[in-house]
Amino acid sequence: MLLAVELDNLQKRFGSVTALNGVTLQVPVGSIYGLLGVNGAGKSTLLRLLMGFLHASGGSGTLLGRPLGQLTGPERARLAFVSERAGLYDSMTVAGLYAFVRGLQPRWDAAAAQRYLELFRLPAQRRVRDLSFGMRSQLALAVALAGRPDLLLIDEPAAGLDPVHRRRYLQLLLEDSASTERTVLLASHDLALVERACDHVALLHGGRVAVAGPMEEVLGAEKRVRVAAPAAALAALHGVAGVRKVQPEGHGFLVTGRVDPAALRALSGVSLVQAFDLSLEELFWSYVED
Amino acid sequence: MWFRIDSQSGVPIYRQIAQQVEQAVLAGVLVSGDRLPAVRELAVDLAVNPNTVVKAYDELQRAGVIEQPRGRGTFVRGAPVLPDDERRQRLEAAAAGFVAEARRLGFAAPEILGWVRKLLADTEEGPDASRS
Repeated sequence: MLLAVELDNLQKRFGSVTALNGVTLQVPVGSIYGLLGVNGAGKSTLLRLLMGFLHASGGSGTLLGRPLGQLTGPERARLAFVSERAGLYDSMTVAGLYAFVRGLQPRWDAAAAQRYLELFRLPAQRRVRDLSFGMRSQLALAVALAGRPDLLLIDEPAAGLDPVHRRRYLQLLLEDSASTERTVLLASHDLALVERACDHVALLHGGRVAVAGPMEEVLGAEKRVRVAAPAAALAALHGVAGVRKVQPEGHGFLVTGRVDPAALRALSGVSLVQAFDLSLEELFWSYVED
Repeated sequence: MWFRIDSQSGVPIYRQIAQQVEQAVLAGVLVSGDRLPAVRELAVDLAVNPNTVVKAYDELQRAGVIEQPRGRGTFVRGAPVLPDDERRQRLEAAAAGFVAEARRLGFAAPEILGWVRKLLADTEEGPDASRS
């Protein structure tokens, strides 16, 4: 499997604050990879490290086959970053911005750029500062995609967009992904967006990767099982392979983790009531709520 | 085709898509030869990852519900043909749920069996319907 990003025990400290506490991650080429986590989990720090805006305090990584931070000169065009805070040039018109970026971007695809303008119905002669918030987000995505990067990093895609703009934004991303080998790594706390748009997912929690992998694998492995059992069974339940969490519930327990329900049923005094596959939202909460 | 994508259900999205196509075929809404949207088209339309659609179509192809002749599109073939062990597994799971619920509700074995016989008789077609 070709990897666009490979991180091994990456660390980042800001003074006494540890933002990333050993992140290990593999992002396959061509994937849409979702990075989930609550505010402060380290998502933005990770993206900024990949962009070379920050230097790691420890660990190592490669990005598009080069050691982290060593993508230089014209090769930087292989990498693009979209963030709601990333500056566009406010006083330029949309057409002016296009012309400006075109001069900087060796890979600029003018036909695609024009198509995105039409798709998003962006007014070419309007100044960037006069665009609505949704239009600015769409323009930022259009500019990034028209530069044909091999790796696109997006911090909070579609954040703050209304449903119509959000849908068009996602659709462009998905259509692009279906027809190119571009890798997209997006950080978000929008669980529904990540579940739909991404084929891989990682959950960052406390500066570490709590769980990561292909979406279906991650979701398929995690279960919550309701069992009827005496209170004394608690220790035995904790001892079953894959069990992450055991919560008392009535005269029984809720058992959560990468667990085989049959292994729980095999315990004496334990009877299985129901086994649930976790949704991404339930999975998220099961790691984050402690 | 319209699809309900439920992100709360715990059912992977590719399986939700596959199941809905399967049900539409079983119900006769989709028949042999009907064309399904291209992967890219459906992915964009539903706003889901293209690989999710690929996975749904692969599963439907394995079950014999659709065929994807190279470069010519995606077409309905017919109702799902499941391997024997999977048919048995699905039946067992459904039956286990039914029996567990019946016992919880306090029905005894003869009553439960009576229900099964009645349901079989009610849904049976053809000459076998008179046999009990």
